[in-house]
Amino acid sequence: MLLLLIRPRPFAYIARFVKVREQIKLFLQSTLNLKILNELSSQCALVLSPAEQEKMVADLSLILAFVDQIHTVPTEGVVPLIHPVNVGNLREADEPETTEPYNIYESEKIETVEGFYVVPKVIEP
Amino acid sequence: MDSFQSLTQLRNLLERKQISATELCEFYLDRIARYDQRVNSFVSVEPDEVLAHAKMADQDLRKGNCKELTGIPIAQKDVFCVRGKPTSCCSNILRSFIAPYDATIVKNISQAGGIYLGKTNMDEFAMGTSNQTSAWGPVRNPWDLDRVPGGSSGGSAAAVAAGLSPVATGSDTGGSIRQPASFCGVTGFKPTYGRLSRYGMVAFASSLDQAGTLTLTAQDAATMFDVMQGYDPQDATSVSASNFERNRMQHPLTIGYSGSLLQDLDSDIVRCIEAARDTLEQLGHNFVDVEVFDQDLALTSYYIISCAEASSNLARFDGVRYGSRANPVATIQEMYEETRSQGFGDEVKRRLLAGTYFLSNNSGENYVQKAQKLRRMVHDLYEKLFEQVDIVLAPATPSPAFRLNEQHDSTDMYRHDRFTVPVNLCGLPAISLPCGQINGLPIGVQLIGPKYCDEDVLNLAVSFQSETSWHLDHPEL
Repeated sequence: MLLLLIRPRPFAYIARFVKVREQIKLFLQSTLNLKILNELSSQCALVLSPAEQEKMVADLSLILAFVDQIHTVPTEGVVPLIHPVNVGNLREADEPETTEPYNIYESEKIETVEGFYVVPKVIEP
Repeated sequence: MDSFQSLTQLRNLLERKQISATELCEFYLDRIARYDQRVNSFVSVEPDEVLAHAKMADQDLRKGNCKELTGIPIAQKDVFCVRGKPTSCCSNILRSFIAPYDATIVKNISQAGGIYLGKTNMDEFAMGTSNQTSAWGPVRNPWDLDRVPGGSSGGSAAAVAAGLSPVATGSDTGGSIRQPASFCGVTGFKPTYGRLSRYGMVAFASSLDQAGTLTLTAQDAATMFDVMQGYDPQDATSVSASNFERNRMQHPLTIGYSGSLLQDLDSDIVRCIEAARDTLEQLGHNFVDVEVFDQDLALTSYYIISCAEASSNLARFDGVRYGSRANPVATIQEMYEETRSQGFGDEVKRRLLAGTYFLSNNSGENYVQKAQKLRRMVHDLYEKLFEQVDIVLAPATPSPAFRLNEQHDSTDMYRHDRFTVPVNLCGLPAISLPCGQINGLPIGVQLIGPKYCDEDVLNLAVSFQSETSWHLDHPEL
């Protein structure tokens, strides 16, 4: 009777089993673990529940496995493309230039200590 | 009135006074009221305000002050700021945000006489390919309400496909205009990066984001592009017309076509793409076989770059600068964490965490720099390709619309973008056009052009639609 109630879909079960097994494998192999996820969450200012954490480790492991193929491509000597069009500053180009030594602007002698200017105290202890 | 009149047809009706702007807006508002409960393509519509603007448009029409879009109602994707209107990117974190200014493209449309019809639903912060990540609930595909409309501009595509708006704006970071256009059987145009201002468009991945349109025809896309485009000093990435030379392509065109792109596709899709190729050949264009970059590798480059840029761009949603602040809180750090944890949905959190991982030293390898190098390789390959050919023909999506809640893991979903993301990596113009149907569901083909050849892509699309009728098929609701 029980056999009649369950539709036989052996391929679906096998596919699901293989997928779960792959996910567990990825989870175990992954460089992304709970400790790293907690660090990332902290940097992103996000708090995840234990259930969210578990799912996120699995999801991110899949994503990392997917993007890691990027490391198989030789890219020596390739200049990174940061932007599809040349982006410049609107007001003026941001180019490095030589500046004059700052001490030539000192018209009068200013007291310094270890390279810092001495200024009057504004907060009394 | 026919529910699926193109922009060109509507302009004729208005100019010949066969319909008033008020009647036109009432018509679309009525359709939204009747059908959108099922489709869920709009997140906000203010009928009184729409009709007040329509009245003003009627005065202009009576005086003969007709501009390109006078009296035409136009839906805006919820990613664009419209002054005084909610702009939420369909995220809980921006649920109460009212935009204090107009995005440049919104201003351009308004100055051309277009009437703001309402905001369309989208994947949260434009992160998604099925419009299932919206805080306002999923959008349904008008061709089959059990299926997704694509994303992230799913609301815009569904609204145009269902005849709820003649035109809608969209944004395309990795295919977010072209993929839903393919799923919903409408025309989706993504211009060259920099030709449409990004000012006032909430950023997801700044080096990839581009505004565009979803329309019934390629001619309508061209009209909208004329209105929306132009240099904008408020956008540092905007490109001035004086910065590029346009050499109009000469008929017949040489079109690149890669058989390798079709290898893994269902035979029905291959049949549709090959029919599109036949149509272009009948128009006198020549085809040459070309090699394109490995789609999966381009996809990995795209996901690393887009997640990294998103993790930086979305740092501003912290309850202080932007975002509904969580209460009660003990410390400022808790306030940031509670605000962001309550405000963002799962897909956004996933991409922020992934982006932070790619950017962090903990990852060991420099993912972002590697991805940018791959981006250069994709870019250079397309530059070389366009020395040999004028246009590239490619599928828009690997399948027609899939079912709502169909189980896909994240990377399965990402692979749906594999034909569209190379265009964004290179900043190219591309258009998705309906080219067939599979079991009653539409499917699209892409025409991709070299940078700044937007007009040539649109011209070819118009001539393609003059020979085909797939864009004239519409769903019944």
